[in-house]
Amino acid sequence: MYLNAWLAWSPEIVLTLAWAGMLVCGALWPRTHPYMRHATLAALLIALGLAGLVAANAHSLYGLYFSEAAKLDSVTTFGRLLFGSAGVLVVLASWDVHGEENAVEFFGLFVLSLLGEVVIVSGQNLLMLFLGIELLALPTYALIAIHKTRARAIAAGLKYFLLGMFASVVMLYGMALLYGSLGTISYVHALFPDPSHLSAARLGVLQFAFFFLILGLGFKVTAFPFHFWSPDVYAGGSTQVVAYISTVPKVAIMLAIFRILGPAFSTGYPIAKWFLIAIAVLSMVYGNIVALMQDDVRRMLAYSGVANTGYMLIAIIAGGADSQAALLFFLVVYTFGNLGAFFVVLGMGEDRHITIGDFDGLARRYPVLALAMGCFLFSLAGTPPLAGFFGKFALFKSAVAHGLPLLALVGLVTTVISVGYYLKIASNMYGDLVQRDLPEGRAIERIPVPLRIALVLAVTATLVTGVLGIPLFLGAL
Amino acid sequence: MPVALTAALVPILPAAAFVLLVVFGRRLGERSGWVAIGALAGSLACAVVLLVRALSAEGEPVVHATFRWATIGRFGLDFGVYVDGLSASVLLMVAIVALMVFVYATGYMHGDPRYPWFFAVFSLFTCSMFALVTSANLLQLMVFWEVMGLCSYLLIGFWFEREEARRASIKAFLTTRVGDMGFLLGVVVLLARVGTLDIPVLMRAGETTARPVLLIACLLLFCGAVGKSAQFPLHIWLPDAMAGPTPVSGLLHSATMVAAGVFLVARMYPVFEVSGALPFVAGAGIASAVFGASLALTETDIKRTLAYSTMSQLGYMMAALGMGGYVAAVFHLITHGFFKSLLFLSAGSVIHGSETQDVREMGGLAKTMKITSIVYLVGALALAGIPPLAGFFSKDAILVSMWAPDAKVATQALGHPLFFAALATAMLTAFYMFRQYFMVFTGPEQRHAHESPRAMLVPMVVLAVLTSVAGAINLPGLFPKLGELLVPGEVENALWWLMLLSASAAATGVYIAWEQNRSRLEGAHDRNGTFGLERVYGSVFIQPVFAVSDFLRRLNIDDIVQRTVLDPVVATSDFLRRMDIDVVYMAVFVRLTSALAEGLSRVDVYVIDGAVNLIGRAGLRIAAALRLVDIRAIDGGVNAVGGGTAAIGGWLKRLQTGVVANYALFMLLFGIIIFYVAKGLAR
Repeated sequence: MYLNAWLAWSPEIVLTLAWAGMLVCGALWPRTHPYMRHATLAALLIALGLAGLVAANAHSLYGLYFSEAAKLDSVTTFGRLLFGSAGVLVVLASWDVHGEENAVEFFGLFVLSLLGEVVIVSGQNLLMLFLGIELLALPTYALIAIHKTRARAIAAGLKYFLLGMFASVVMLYGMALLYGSLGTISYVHALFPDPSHLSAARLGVLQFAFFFLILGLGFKVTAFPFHFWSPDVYAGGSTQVVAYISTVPKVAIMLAIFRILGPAFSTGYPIAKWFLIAIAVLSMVYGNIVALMQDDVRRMLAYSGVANTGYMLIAIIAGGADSQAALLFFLVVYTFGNLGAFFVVLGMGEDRHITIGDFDGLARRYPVLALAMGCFLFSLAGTPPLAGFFGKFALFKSAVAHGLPLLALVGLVTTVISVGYYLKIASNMYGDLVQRDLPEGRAIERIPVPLRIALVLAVTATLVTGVLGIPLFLGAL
Repeated sequence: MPVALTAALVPILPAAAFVLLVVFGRRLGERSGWVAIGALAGSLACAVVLLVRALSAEGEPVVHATFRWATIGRFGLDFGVYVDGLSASVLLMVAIVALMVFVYATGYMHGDPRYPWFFAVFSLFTCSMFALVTSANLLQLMVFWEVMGLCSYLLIGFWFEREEARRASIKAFLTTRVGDMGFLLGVVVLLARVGTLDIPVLMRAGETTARPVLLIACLLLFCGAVGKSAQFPLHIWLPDAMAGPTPVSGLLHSATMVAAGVFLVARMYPVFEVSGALPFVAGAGIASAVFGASLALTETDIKRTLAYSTMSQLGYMMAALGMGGYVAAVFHLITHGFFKSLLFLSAGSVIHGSETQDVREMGGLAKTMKITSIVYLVGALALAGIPPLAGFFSKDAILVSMWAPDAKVATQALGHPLFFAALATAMLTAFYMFRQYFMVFTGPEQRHAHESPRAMLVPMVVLAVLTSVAGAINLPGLFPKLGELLVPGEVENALWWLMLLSASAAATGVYIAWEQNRSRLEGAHDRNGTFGLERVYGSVFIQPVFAVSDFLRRLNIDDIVQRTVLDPVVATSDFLRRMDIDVVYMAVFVRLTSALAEGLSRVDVYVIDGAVNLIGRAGLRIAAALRLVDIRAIDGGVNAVGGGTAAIGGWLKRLQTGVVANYALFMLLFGIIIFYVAKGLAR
C-alpha cells in the first residue's frame, strides 16, 4: 500500500521535489537561475509521463488515499494531464520574458500553484479544497505582479489579492456553516444528503453556507457577479500569467464543484439549483454583452471568460455522467483556445494595451500568427468544425437531456452574440484582404521561438480535440 | 394595588421618565428635572410599601412574580420581580439617595445646555439599579447590569467636549467590561450545570450541584462584581470617573454602580457560602480596603480622595461578606450609601463654591460655606466611624464579623489578620478624611467662596440627618431590625470592647490629622517651629505611612493594570476595527445609497436628455454592423444582434469602476439579489 501510494502520487512528488530543488539551487547558486525554466519544463514532462503511467495502471492504483482525503480516479488523471500540458505551454510562453533575478520566484511559484490545482481536483473534503485553493491562489497573487517595476501589474496583483482574500474568507465561512449544518466536510460520498433527512433549521443554514461557498468558488471561476476583478487583473497583469489563471484554476475548480455537488443536489435543493441557474444565465448574458463593448483585447477575453464560465455551469447544473463528459471536453477546448488567444496577445507585445485595432491587417503581415489567432477565436466562438463547436453542442445537449431546454436556449442565443466580438478581431485581421484602405495595425517584434512552439502546440491541441470531438458529437446524435 | 405591581413600578416609573424626557425633554427644558424627581418619588413610595411588607413577611419573599419571556429548547427564561428583605432594604436606600441626588442635580446642573438629556440618562441609570435589585432571574439582572454600565459611560462622559471626560468614560466602560466577561461566563456555567437562572432556585443550588462547579461559577460572578464595585485590580476606572458631573459621582459611588457588585454577591450569597469562594472574596476585599485607603492618604484632589475611600469601603463590605458577615456588609452598604452620597454632594458644593478641586488651594471654607462644612463634618465623622453616626455601627458590625467569623465559611485564624488590617484601615480612613476636612474648611482663607443654592443644600441636610440616624436600623443587641429582616432568627451579639477599640482607632486617626494639620499651618508661619509632639508623630508615624502611600503611587499599579488588562481589550477592539467592519458597513449602506442616487440620476440623463442620443448611437452601431456585413458578408445576422446589444453593454461597462471596495460590494450585493431571486424561483 505504501509503495502504491508513492507510485500513485509520483507526479506530485516529482513536482514538489522540483520546486524544493529550484528553491535551494536558486538560493545557493545564482548561476543556476537561467536553468530554472529547463528544470520546470523537465519536471512537468516527467510528471506528465508519470501521470500517464499511473493512468495505465488504473486498476491497481486508483482509489482513495490519505484517510479518504484524496481520490485518484479518471477525473484526477484528467486534471493532471490537462494542467501539466497547460503548464508546459505556459512555461514555453514564459521562456524569455523574465529577468534572471525573477526566475526562481516565477517558476517556483508556478509549480506550487499547479500542485494546488491537483489538490483541488483530487481532494475529497472541504479542507483539502480550501488548502488547494489557497495553494493555487497565493502564488498567483504574486505571479500577476512578477514585473516589479510595472505599476499596472502591481496594482493588478494587489487588487487580485485583496478581492481574493475577501472571497476566501467568505468561502471559509460558508464551509464552516456547511460543517455546522451537515456535521461532515467530506464529499467522498455525497456532501449534500437527501434533504428530507435534514431539519428546517439546518436547511436554512445550509442555504447560506451554499451561498458563501459559491461566492468563494465563483470568484475563482469568474462567474457573474463575482467576476469584477478579472477584467482589471487580466488587463494589468503579466500576459502569460493571465493566460494561466484564466484557464487552469478555473478548470480545477469546475471539477471540484462537480465533485462537491452530488447527485441529490439537482433534485433535492431547488434554491441552490436556481441560484446556480441564475448565475449561469447572467454570466452568459452579461459576459457576452459586455465583451462586445471592449476595445482592449485582454478585457474582452476576460468577459469571454465570464461567459464561458456560464457555459461550464450548465453542465454542473445538469449533472450526470453525460454532462460530466461534456464538461471535461469543453474544459479542454476552453483551456487551449483561451491559452492560445492570450499567447497571441503576448506575442504582439505586452508593454501596452492591445486593442482590437492592433489586429488590423495582421493576416497580411503575420499570416501564421493571424491563422493561429483565427483558429483560437473560432474555437472559442464555437464554430464548426473546430473543437469549441462540439464542446458547446455537448453542453447544450446535456442540458436538454436533463430537462433544462431554456438554459440551452440561453446558451445558444448568447453564443450567437459572442460570435460578434470574436469575429470583430477576425474581420480586422483579414479585413484588408478585402479592402485595401484600412489603417495599418501595430508592428510586432520578432516572436521568440519557445512562444512559437507554444502557439503551434495550442493550435494542434485545438484541432486535435476538434477531431476527437467528432465521435462525441456523433455519439450524442 | 397588588404587591407585584408595586414592585414592578419601582423601576418602571424612572423608565417612563426616561422615555418621556427623551421624547419631550427639549420642550420641558429645566422642568424635566422635576419630571424625573416625580417619578423617583413614586418609586420611593413603592419601595417604602415593599419594605413595610418585608418587615412583616418573616423572611419569606414579599413578591415573586414571573412571566415566561422565552423558551429555548427545554430551557425556559422567566423574567419578573423578586423582592425579599435584602432587595427591599437596598431598594429603599437607593430610592432615598437617588431622590436626594436628583434634587441636588436640579441645582448643580442648572443652566447646562443638555439638562434634559442628563436627567433622562440619570433616570435610566436609577431605573437599571432598581431593576437589577428586583430581578427574579440572573440573566435579567445581567441585562440591567449592562444597561447600568452603558448609562455610567454616558454619564461619566456627559461633558464629552472634555478629552478627560471622554477618556474616563471609555476607561470605565472597558474596565467594568473586563469583569463582565467573567460575569457572563459565570452565568453560562450556572445555566449549563444548574439548568436555571431563576434566582430563588439558584440560591438553593448548593443542594443539587457539585461544589467545584459552584466554586468556578461564583469566582466568575465575582469577577463581574470586582469590575463594578471597583475592587483591586479593576479599580482603575473609579478615580477617573470623577470627570463626570458631581451628582453622577454622588450616585455612582454610593447607591448604584458600585453597590451593584456588592449586591450581586449578597444576592447570590447562599451559593457563595456553599461554593467555598468566600475566602477569595474576603482576600480581594481586604486588599482593596487597605490599598484604597493608602492611596487616599496622599491624594490632593477632593473628589479623587473620596473615590479611593469608596474603593476602600467597598473592600470592607466584600471582606465582611467573605467572612460570613452578610448582615454587616448589607448594613454597611446602606449606611455607606447615605454618607458617601452626602460627602460627594458636599464636595460638589465645595467645588461649586470655591471653583477648584485641589484641597491645597482651599482652606477656611467653613466661614463662607457654613452649612456645607457642617454636613461635610457629619459625613466625614460617619466615614471615619465615630459614634453615634451610622458609619460607626456598620463598620463595627464588620469588625465583629471578622473577629468572630461565621464558622461555616472561615476560621478565626483567617479572621484575626483581617480584623487587624481592617482596624488599621479604619484609622487611616479617619486620618485622611480629617486631613482633608481640616485642609478644606479650617485654617486661613485662601480664595473667595460662596455657599451653594438651596436646591443643593436641602438634599445635603436631609442626607446628613439620615447619616446621623441610620445606624439605628441595626443596633446590636438593642434593635437588630436589619438583621432580623435579612436573616430571621439569628441574633447578633455585641462586643462592647470592640466598639470601644474601633471608636478609639478612629479617634486616633482624627487626632493625628489634627496634629498634622496644626504643624502644617504653623510650619507655614514659622519654618523653624518648635520640637513639639506633632514632630514626634510626624517622624514616627506619619512619615512611614506617607512613604508607603507614596511608594504605592510611584509603583503606579493603575498603570500596570491599565497596560495588562485594559490595553489588550483596547487592542482587540482596535484590531476588530482594523478588520474594517466599518468599511463593510460603509460599503454596504453608504455606497448603496449613493450608488442608487447615482443610478437614478443616470437614468434621468438617459431617459430624458439622452433618448435621442440613444437612438442615434444605436443607428451608428447598426451602420457599423452593416458595414461589416457589406464588406465581409461572413455572418451579418450575428453582428446585427451584437450591435443591438451594444447599447446595453455600454451601461453595464460602467460597473467596472476599478475600485476594489466596489467590486467586493458588487459581489455581495448582486450575489444576494441573485440568491433571493433564486429563492423566489425555487418556490
